Amino acid sequence: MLFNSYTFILFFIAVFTTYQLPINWSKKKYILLFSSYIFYSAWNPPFVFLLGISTAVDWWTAKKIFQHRHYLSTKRHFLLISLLINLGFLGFFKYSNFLLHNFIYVVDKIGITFTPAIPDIILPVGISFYTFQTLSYTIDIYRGKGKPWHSLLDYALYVSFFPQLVAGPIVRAFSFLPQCLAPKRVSGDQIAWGISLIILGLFEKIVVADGLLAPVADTVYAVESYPGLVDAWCGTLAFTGQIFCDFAGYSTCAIGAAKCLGFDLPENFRYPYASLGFRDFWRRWHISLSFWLRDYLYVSLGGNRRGMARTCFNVMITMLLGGLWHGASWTFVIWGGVHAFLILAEHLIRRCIPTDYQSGLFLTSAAGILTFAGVCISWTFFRAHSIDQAAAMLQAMFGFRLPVNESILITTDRVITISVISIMIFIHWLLRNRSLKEVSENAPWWIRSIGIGIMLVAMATFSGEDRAFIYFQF
Amino acid sequence: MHLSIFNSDYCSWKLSLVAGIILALAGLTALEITWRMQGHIPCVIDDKDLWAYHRNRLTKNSKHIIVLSGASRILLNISLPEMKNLLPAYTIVQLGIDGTHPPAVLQDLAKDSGFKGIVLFSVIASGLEKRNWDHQQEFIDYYHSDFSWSDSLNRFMSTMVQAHLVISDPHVMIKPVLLRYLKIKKLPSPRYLITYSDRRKEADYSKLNINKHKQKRLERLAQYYEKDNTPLPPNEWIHEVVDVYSWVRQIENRGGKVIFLRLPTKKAHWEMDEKFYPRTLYWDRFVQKTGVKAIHFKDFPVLDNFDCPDTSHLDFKDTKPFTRALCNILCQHDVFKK
Repeated sequence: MLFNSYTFILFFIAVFTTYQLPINWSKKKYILLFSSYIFYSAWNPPFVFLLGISTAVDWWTAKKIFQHRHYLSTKRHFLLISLLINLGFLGFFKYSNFLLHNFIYVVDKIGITFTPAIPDIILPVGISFYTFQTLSYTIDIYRGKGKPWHSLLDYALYVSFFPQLVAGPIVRAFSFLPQCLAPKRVSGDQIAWGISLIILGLFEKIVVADGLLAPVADTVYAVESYPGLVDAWCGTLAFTGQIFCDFAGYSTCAIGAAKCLGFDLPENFRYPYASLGFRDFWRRWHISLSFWLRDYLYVSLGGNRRGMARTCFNVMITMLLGGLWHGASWTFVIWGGVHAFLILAEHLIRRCIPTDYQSGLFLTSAAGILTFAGVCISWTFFRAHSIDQAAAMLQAMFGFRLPVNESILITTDRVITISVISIMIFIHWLLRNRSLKEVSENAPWWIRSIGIGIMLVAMATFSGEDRAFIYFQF
Repeated sequence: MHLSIFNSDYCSWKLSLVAGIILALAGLTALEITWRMQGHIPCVIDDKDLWAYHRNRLTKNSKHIIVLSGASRILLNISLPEMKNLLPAYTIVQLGIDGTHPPAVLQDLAKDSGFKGIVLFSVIASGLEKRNWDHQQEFIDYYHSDFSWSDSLNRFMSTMVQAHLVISDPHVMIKPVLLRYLKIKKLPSPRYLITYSDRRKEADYSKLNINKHKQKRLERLAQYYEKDNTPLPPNEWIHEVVDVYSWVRQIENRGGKVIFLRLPTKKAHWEMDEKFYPRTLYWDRFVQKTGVKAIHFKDFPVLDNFDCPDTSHLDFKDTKPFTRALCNILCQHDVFKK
């Protein structure tokens, strides 16, 4: 059930209406829980059991961890159970075929022919997200950052809450669970704000990502032969914009939907294409994932507390696994590796700069441009079907190979891409240290109305292939 | 983590939202009226979801289902409302897929042990060859593996919107209209081919430059026969296509029926069909060898007398009389009772 579907509109109206009934808070939470399972069943009904098992396992293990909090060895065992089961499910459903294909490749290289039947494993939608979410609960309790929650209903709702269930933001338990304690009173204006956020998110997805940019990216990345330098850059820029609008659009919808129900979800994007440096980028892009990786992987490995060499190793492992989280393919791992390299390179450069150095406009602009360029170049690995295609695209982008198809895109596509990306970068730089709240509330109500009206008309009248949100595949 | 961006003081958001929705409705209404004044009418988008939605309508174990399977001819030539009028006891489901050969659907119905209805199977000789069996497989695979209850509900609602609003037609959406206008300084003309919610299509050839359209169609047909699908020799062909009969038997053994239809093609199109796949060496041999029930338009002057303006499909004005004529013939052959 996509956010940009009639089914979701009907579903949300039904949930919202039922939620407004004069019933007690506990019953309202049951309504949300039931609705969330219905929402998840829209993809593949049997997988609701997987969601239930994941919920039950971590509920139980967290209790056990807390019960044995003074016995390091025992509590470690229970943490291990939680990790094994959750990561086991994730590994099986998401990485089995990847591991099998790589195993076949490796043994073939040493002369052994192994041709097993390749199992047809369906990837449960959102498994990467809710797995990380439930693990954050058990790990936080293991670390003594909280106690097991008293209400299984609240916890089950935290795991399955439909606005963020299938594509984030990855919510921390102890920022969501306290919101379940007291009934929500949501005013008309809060609901209107939430709906406005949903409209904004859908506009980003339907009009900008699917309508304007995806066709360009698909055209360039579909070709088997090499595009020219201009088209390679246009296709990559188009994907740069597409993935932001698609994913940020989803997160904005999720936050807006939660807002209508009285819940606050964390921000997931903060104008990442106005980043100054790659560390800054990861504080602005998919914030909930990058903070999760920092807190539960990077810090667990030792963070930056064990010397330079170990820090480099920890950064590399975190980013490589972060890349792998996105998909069972070496291209995603390389994408993560590219970011690790860029983060480490930036770290080394910063160590050479005096701490009291004030960079002027020129250096700040250069840093911004280089960051954006680095991010764009890394997206080639994310978008390409294979390492070969990514390499070919990079060669085309830097003019190292003669193109076979000089003009894959028409002039209009190039103009649209450059215009949309330019506007996007401008908006990101304009708002990088401000908030949408500030900007929109400083505008008269009728300006906001016109904006909402234009977005609604655009959504209704913009052609675009019906595409799933990119991050659903993760 | 920051929550600042999304924690608003909410001042006048209600007013902004309501005014914005009213503005949008006014704008969309104006667009709808504008397009309708230019002669555009609503057109349902035919896609895998719509096909799967109708495939889902096949009630298990019912003999009172008629499935129309084939390509563009079965989509354009048969009037479903007229057929429903003539055969009120039957549920009629259109599973034709434009531009593709249909054996995969027949195979799918054969494998479906709950299907016991009637299949009107519109096909040409080349369509029965093994290399063309999987043309429609993508739609079938999508139905069986990806089409969920929420997709079905979504498709039902989107079909209702598309069936009533011109502005939901991709033909008149902002981007293609603007691009077209920039290129040739013209707005899109009303479609000549309209799809309805039951998946039937109607072609109004008065909206086309028919000679140019016919010429392009014949060029594509020549390319198809001469390069893309050069005919198999008759003896090789008959060995291959006989396997299709096993699917027919599976359906018939359950109490169902399969009728092979060869729908009209005219003039240069028919000449080319006969040049590359002569009826006596291909179609007739298949019918004779397998004993399938078959209706060839050339055997029935009442079907042959209809004109195909583009050499291959009827104009919408002729679909009702054609459907009546075909149903009469099928009733005379005891395929179904009126």
